[in-house]
Amino acid sequence: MMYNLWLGLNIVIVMLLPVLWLVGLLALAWGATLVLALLRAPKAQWRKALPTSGLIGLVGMVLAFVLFPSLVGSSYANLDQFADWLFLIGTAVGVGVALLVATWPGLTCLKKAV
Amino acid sequence: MPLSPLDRRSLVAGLAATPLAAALASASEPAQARVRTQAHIVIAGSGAGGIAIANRLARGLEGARITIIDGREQHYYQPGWTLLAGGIWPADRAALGNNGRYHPRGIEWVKDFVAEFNPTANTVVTRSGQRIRYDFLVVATGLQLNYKAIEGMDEAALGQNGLASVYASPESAASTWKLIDAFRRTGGRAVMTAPNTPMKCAGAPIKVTFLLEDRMREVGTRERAQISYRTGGAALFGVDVYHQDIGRRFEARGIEHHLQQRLTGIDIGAKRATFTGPGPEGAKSTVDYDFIHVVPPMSAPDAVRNSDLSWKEGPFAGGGWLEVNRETLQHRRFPNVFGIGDINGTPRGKTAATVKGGAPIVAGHLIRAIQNQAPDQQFNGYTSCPLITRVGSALLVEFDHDGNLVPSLPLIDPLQDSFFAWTMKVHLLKPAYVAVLRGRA
Repeated sequence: MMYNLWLGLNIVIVMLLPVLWLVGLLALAWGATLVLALLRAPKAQWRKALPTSGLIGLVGMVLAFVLFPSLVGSSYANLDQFADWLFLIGTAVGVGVALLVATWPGLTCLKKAV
Repeated sequence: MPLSPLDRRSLVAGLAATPLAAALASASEPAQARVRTQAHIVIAGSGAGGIAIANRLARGLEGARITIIDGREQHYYQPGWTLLAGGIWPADRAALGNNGRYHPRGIEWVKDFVAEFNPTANTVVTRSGQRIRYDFLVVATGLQLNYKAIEGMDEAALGQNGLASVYASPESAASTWKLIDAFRRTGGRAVMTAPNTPMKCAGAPIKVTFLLEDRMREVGTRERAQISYRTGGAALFGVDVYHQDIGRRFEARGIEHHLQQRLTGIDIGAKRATFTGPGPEGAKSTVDYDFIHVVPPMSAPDAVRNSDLSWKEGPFAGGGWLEVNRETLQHRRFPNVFGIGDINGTPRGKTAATVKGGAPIVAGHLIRAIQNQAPDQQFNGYTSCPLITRVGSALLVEFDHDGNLVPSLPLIDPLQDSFFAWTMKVHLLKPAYVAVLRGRA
């Protein structure tokens, strides 16, 4: 299990190598908004921002679910196994969660307290 | 707006990375203790196996002198060549740049080829005459494509006149797609071949056949073509369950197949191929073609074949393959010699996945040998071949030395077409290969 995780991590790293600068930039931007949100506590509206972030995550999840097969050069017609659907759903959920986490701190700063 | 290939790749990378990233955040590389030594280790070959071993040894040893001997400057992701041939990847996507980019720091790279192995004297001699002494040797030369064994065959003619071969080079693989693309518009007689020798990526000729057939369906010209698959072997695939499965698929898709028919001659100008039946005096037959996919007989490179390192009897002697113990990958007669990859005279197993499985075993056993310790692990011959059955789908084929199926992902049915296996083959295995090169997977 640990080997598969290690292999998976290496695959992810190698895949992201060509766009590492962009990943780094996005990570920095996300870190900055997180720090900003934490510094603004207790003014930061974490709870208020959650529905919007959740909606963005949901939209991303649906889009990933719909587009992923064609993005990888395949189609829904080729999802023949239970594991194929599980993989697609897992990918879509992952995209959704990533978008939620990515947008939450930033939106927290933008929301005004009532 | 249509996505460019680069945009699409970046998106796919991002999408594929996202669900994994969280689960992997806590994963870390297994710790390795470094062993101090002044041993000189020579690695003959800078393909996937040679580089993977060099990286693992560089991390596992302190003070060792490591020399890689290989005259090839460029490294290619060979498992991607069938994707070039099928028009799935653009021509340049299988290139991985200069070999040196993947070598560990501090090693010596002799840009030459080994011409002679003298294991009794612990030396190798390069083509330019340089004699190099070693304490330990890793043979990672890969194999030799014997196009010349086919009478009338001219490698320079590949890519023209309906003559294709995915094995010769990335250029040849890319030109195979151009020929397939032209053939699917005109139709005619397609002849797909496979030799009767062990070969690297034994699934490649079958993948090209499936892709050719699928690409014809795609443009609605399937009924214009007669496709036949002729192999010199006694089976379509070395694992019986897949031999049966592929046979059924060929039948269902109207692809006729013939066993024990090896390509022994070709008249490129007349577009006529000669096949010979089993045995030295096998019956000959000729077949006219409009498109032919040539897979040459394969053997160990002459330098290994003609040395004391090759098998002298048994099923691997004919091809001159390296005489290693199939479990330890250590030479059976010269314990300071190890083998990795296609050169090994072991059952099946000539794929990048075999290198992935074998590299930690070889590196581990070599480090133990430096410490006068016996091998402590057994390689089961793990081999994987994601067999593309049509554009968008593949079978995840995994087996061991004995042809037993060894699925690494229990949820995937190895006999059923899979979108996941396709995604792995087309998008995930190249990064996995680079991780193997760096000795990290």
